[in-house]
Parts: sequence; structure tokens; C-alpha cells
Amino acid sequence: MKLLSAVKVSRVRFIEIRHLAALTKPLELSGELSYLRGGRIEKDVSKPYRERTSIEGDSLLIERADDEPRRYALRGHPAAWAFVEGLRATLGGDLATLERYYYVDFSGTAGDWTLRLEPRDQDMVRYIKSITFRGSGPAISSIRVLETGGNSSVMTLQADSS
Amino acid sequence: MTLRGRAVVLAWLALLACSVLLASRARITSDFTAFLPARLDTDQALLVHQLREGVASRMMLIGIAGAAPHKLAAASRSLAQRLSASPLFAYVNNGEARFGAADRALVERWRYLLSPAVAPARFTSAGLHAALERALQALASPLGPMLSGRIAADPTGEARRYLESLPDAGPATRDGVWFSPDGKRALLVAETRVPASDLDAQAQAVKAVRSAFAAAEGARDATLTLTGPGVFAVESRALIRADASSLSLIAGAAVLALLLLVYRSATLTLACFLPIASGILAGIALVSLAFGSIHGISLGFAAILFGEAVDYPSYLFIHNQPGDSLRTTLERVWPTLRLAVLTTVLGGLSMLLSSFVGLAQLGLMLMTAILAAGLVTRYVLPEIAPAKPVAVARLEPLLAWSALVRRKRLIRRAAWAALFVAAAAAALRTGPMWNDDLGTLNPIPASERRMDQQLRAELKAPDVGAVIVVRAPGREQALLRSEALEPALRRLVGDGLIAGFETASDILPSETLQRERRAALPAAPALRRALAEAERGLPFRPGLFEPFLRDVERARSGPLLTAADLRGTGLGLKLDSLLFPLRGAWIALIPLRGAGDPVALAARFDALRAPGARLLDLRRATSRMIARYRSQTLELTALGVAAMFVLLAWGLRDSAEAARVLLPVLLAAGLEAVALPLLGAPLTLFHLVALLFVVGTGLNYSLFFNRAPRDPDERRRTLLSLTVCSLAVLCSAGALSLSSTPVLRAIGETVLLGTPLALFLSAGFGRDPA
Repeated sequence: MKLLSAVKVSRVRFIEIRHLAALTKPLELSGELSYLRGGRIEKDVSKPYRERTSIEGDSLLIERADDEPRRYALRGHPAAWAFVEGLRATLGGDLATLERYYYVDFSGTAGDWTLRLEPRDQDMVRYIKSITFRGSGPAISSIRVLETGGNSSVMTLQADSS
Repeated sequence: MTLRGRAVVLAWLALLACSVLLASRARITSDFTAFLPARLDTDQALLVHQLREGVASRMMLIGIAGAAPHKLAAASRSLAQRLSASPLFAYVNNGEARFGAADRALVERWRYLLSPAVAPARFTSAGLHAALERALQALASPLGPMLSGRIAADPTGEARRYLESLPDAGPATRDGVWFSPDGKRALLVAETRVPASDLDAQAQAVKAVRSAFAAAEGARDATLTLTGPGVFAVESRALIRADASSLSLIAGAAVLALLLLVYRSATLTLACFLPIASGILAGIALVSLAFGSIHGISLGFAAILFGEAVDYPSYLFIHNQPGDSLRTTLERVWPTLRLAVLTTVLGGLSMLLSSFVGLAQLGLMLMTAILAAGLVTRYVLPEIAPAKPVAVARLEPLLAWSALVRRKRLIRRAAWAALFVAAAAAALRTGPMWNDDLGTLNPIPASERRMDQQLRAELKAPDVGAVIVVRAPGREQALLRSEALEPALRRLVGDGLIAGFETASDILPSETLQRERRAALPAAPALRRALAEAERGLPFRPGLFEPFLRDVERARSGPLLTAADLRGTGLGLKLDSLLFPLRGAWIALIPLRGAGDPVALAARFDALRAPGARLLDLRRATSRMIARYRSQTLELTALGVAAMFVLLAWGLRDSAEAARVLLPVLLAAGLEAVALPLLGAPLTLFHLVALLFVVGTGLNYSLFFNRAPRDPDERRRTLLSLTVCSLAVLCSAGALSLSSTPVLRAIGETVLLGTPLALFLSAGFGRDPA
């Protein structure tokens, strides 16, 4: 956690593969994930379509080329809120917040660690079984989300070479 | 006591007992819309309906301030949760979620008839393909886990689209709840189930909010601000009630002290109270009989009657010279006293004729109390009170003021000059002469009303401002007309003339529009074919959209949405406030938000020539209504004064004498009428009442000043009795001017200023004692 909290700003490329029960084949998205100090997270999808999601405070903004931007107040969606808080707390190295929302299990070594989160919030339990972060040192290498109803996703992160 | 005397006293006691019985059962109201005219035209009826029942009237605005934002947010959430659980509130919102579970279920069920996006093109294979592509992206978005359950039944997102199409009512959120723009105040709205006019239930709701707040987490350091029509109605009832009782007590105590000082006799002092006590009891009894209840303001008005009617016995007792019985004194004084009583009764009669219920009540109260007090003074007091002449010499210092009125010519000239100067100043002045704002009836302090307006603006809540009234013979036509207006209204929003609007047809589309939407839904086989084509190239699992096919078919072949289906939901509540029957027609209201330029708006609206629709500025319409009753009252007052003149001419058997008596009093009232607006108090209806009262008491003074005294002792007794009487009026008017109710304060202050003026001018214009 300490290592993570040392990160000020990070920008990584990601590939996300989502297995959804509603679909016959997995969805593959790729783009850039940025984390800026102060809790701002941006997820820029560039393939197979362009979409930017930014999260700041409790507001989630989704912008697409073909639609008006949509803004959501996350507190109105407890499950989404817990998810975002988990992501933000992990990226920010904020163990206290993390433990407020999840049962936290940390294993491995500093060079190869696993952080497994299981939601405490009843609302979130309805949607999410677990979130697992894997990483090495201050870098997160993957985020795996297991949803209820047979959905899951794996996001693989690779630090930008530039 | 003679047999006749005994009969009189018995009759008085019997009537008194009846009055006590009736008065003790009187229901006291304080809803100031109850003060409005009994017979209303349709616009006025609508106004009153809005004031009493309208959606704005049920809205409670809640602000929480004074702590760190995250604490305020926690308090807001905790408060909202507690209030939502209470049966007193139909709808509570703090920005966490705009719609409750019942509303979401309703929209889910009826989405294909409600959604404005439902059109044939949406259900073709191309339309569905676009929708499915979008659904796929939504599934992949961070909100995907929450949306995946919905996509199978509603791939085109009609429910969400409909909810998003409803006018956004809220301010910006912070920590997930509504906050003021400066971030210092968390904001909530709560809609009570009962209208603002149900005061007991409103009082319960106010209490519920306060105790929920006290128990809310994070609320310890924070302060609660609560406003809204219901809250104000409850507060003003408490204020008016407290005022009416405490002011009567203060006035009573002050007059009591004065009379004890003058008479040094408990018996005479008590006897002075008997007529007016009988009169006020009879007044309360008769008003509650005639009107079904008595308004708190009429009760407060009793305090001032106190000062006037306590005079009648005083004229009798003070004029009682050593060696005379009360009966002989009465024989000499009664002709004058009778005129004094009757002229005041005429003043009350002119108010009673007003169609403004509040004034009629005051008029009846005045007439009954004064007449009863006069009769008790005339018939009962001589039977039961002792003859105890007052030693005038002891009270000489009280008469010192009369030195001021020796130079009568100077006073007369000065009075006329003052009137002309004041009238000229009033004519040149630009400020308003009249204040026709109904809010001036409201006892709520201006600071709280400002807070209400601020919360309203921050919450973007509908204010009691501009509204379009659509009238039609039936519900369906009202909805159709309302729908027909929508494109024009959207243009007004686009041009910045209004910030937004709400319509009943958003919640309950007309049957015509619902049928149109239903017709846009393809039959099951066609939809299945279109869907199969739309799914081509997309990775959706086969059979995923069966719930969608089922729901569309159900909407296509099912019933239309009716008002009954909406019952028990927040949307249904809103519908009831926007669409209702009134006097055999149906009204659909379209409240407009943020109408900045009423003139430009009115011009644009008139150009629409929309059938059955009118733009109504509630505030202006209320003022117009008040102005109408004000001018009627003015006419009645003039008639009352004319009647007084006739009465005086008959009583004094000399019209020149009558004019002489009336002149100084009218001069005093006129001087005050032009002076008050100059002093920054534009006249209201109730100032007129107070002026009428000043004329009534002033006539007493003038009558006595013009009565030829028998000897110098009687002359001094007259002067003393008038001094004591006007001091008594000042005591009660002074008490009234302490009131926090603007109406009562206006009456108190006007009388406080007018009485000495009337006394002074009556003395100045009175017959020379020579």
C-alpha cells in the first residue's frame, strides 16, 4: 500500500477483456487509464470505439462521440460508488477507505503481490463478487473483476514506454 | 333595584352566559387564505386552490449548514432516510436518487407509452441495431455491472430515457447530495402528503423533520433551516395565537392600571371592564356563529376594541358629579354617548358589507362588541355600579396637555396647512400609496421569507410565480392542449425566456399520444424479424432479448396508462398537483421556472394564441385581487362616513353642527392617510380598518368637545374623561403595535398615531368654551 501511495500521477495502457453472460464472445477494449492525484481517474477507450470515462469526486462522466455526455452521481448507485472507491483507494494507497468498503486480503511479496477485495456493502454484493489487483512494486499489472451472474473482466495494464 | 332593573341585569347575565358558552367553543383559524373573499371568480378560485393545495404549497425546503461538507452530506442522507420512512411525506429528495422505487417500477412497466423516443423508426432493424450497439457499449462501461440486468428487457433504454427527459429539478451535488452553489448548505426537499392548509398535519410534519434532524447522524454541530408554505402557516398560527392572547392581556393590564390610577376604586374599575368584556365575548360568539370560526386576527383586533369600549363607562363615571346619581348623570351624557356608540357601529357596518371575509369578520366583531358595550353601559351599569364621583383636582396634571389647544385658530390653520403640504408631498412622491401584497398579511419575519426565496432558488424549486393555466372541458382535452403547447415552450426555453417547465402530460400522456406510441410498436413477428436482423454481427447471446419482445407485445396489446395507475407514486402526486378538476372543468397547470422577464414572456405567450391557455402571474393576480377589495373597501368607508354624517345630523338636529363634529376627525384621518405612505408604510386594507376606527373614536372626542357643558366642573370632567379615554386607546393600540403580525401591528400603529391627532384636532376645532 505504501508503495502505491507514492505514485503521484500515472498513465498506463490497458487491455480489458470482458466475459459477459449476455454475449457469445468476450468483449475486448483497449486504451489508456490515467490516475491523477486528488482522486481523478480517466479511462480512455480507443478501441473498438472511442469513449472517455472520467471520475472525479462522486461524479462519473461518460463522453462518446455519438451521444451527449452523461453525468452520473455515483452516490445514487451504491455499487458503482463502492467499485470506484475501491479502485481509487487502491490506486491512491488508501487502506482505510479500502477496508471501509471491502474485506481486504494482501498476499505475496513486494515484487509480486496480490490484493484481493471482497465487498462488504450489501448493494455491491448483489453485483460484484471480488476484485483482484496484481502487481509488482508500485505498478499494478492487472485488475480482475468477478461479477455475479457469470460476468467477469480482466484488465491488463502496461506502463507507457514514453 | 327596581323590578325592571332586576330583569335587565338577569337578561344581561343570561346573554353573557350564552356568549361565554359559544365563545369558549369557537374554533380559531389563522390560515390567511381563509381571509380571502368568499365569492371568487375562476381565476381567484384557482389562486386560492394553488395557495392552499398546490404543489408549491406542500413543499418543504430544508437546508443544513454550519458543519464540514462531509458531515452535512451525512446528515442530509440520514435525514432523508428517516423522512422517507415517515408516512407524513409523499416524497423526500436530497439528490441521492431522483426517483423512488415505486416511481421506477411504474416507469419500467409503462415505458413504451411514456417514453418520448417511441417512434416507428426506433423499432426497425436499423433502429434496433443502433440501440444494440449502444447497449453493448453501456455493458462495457464502468456502470456495466449495474446495467446488465436491464438490457435484456429494455435494450433501447426507454425507461432511462424517459426519466432523463423529465425536467431536472435539482441543484449540483457534492458528496452525492444536493448542495448550495457555495457548498455551505446541504439541501433537501420534502413534499408533505397533506396540503399547506391542513395546519395540524403540517405542524406534525414540521415536528417530524425537527426530531428526525435531531436524531440524524452528523447533525450535532449543524443547524437546520426549514421553510415553505406549510412551515410558515404553522409558524404564523403559533405567532398569531400567541399575539392574540398576550396582546389582549397586555392591553387589559395597561388599561387596568390606568383606571385604578384614575378611580382609586376597584369597584368602578371592575365596572368599567364589564361592558367591553361582555361586548368582546358577544363579538366572538357572534363571529364564530356567523363564519363558523374566528380568525386569530379578529381576536387580536379585540385588544384594540378594548381601549375604545372601556371609554363608555368612563364617560359615565367621570361625568358623575358629587350629589348626582349615576342615572341622572346618564340622562345628561347619554344623548352624546349614544351618538358616539352608533357612529362607531356604522363604521363596523361598512366593514361588515365587504366581500373580503377578513374585513367582514372584523366589522361584525367591532359592531357587536361596541353595541353590546354601549347597551351594558346604558342599561346595566346604573343598576349595579355605585355613584362615586372622581375628584378632578387630584388628576389636574393629566389635563396639562389642554394648554396646548388654547390657540385654536393656530391649530386649525396648522392642520389645514399640514394636510395640504402632506397631500402635495404625497402627490409628488413616486413611492406606492398602497401595498397590495398578500404577503403583508403573513406574520413571518421578512428575514425568513428571504431565506425561503434563497433556498427555493438554490433548489430550483418551482416558485409561486408564473404558471400557464390550461383549461378544458375534460381531462383528455386538457392533456392534449398541454401537449400542443410543448414545442412552443421548448422554444421559450431555447430563447432564454424561461429556464424550464413541467407539464402534466409528461407524467400522463394524453390517450391520443399514448395510442400513437402504441401504434409505433411493431407486432410480435415483425419485431422478432427486425431484432434478428439487428443482432447480426453483434455478439449477443441468442434468445437474450425475449423479455424485450414480451414487454413490447404487452404494451402493444395492453391497456393505456391512466391516472389510477399512478396512484401511490411520487409521479402520481405530482400529476395530481398539475392536473385537477375545478368548477366543472379540468385544469392542467404548466409551472414555469425562472421567468426573468414577465413582460417579454407575456408578449410571446399572447402571440401563441393557444386555445384555452392563459399565462397567469400568481403574485400579480393576487395583488390585483387585493387591490379590487381595497377599492371596494374604500367605497364602503366613504359610504360609512356619509352614514355617520346623516346619523350625526339627525342626532344633533343640525347638519352644520354635524359637519363641525365630523370635520376635525376626517381631517385627522386624512392627514394620517397621506402621512403614513410618506413615512414609509404604504397603506394596506387593514390600515383602512384602523383609520375607520380612528374616525370612530375621534368622533367620540369631537362630540364631547362640541357638547355645551353645564358648568366649569363639568367642562373639566369632560376634558378628563376624554383624556382618560384616549389614554386607554393608546394603551391598547400600544400593545397591538408590539405584535409580530403585520396586520395587527399596522392597526396598532395607525391608531397609536391617529388617536392623539384626532383628540388634538377635536379640541382645536371644538366649540369655544366661552
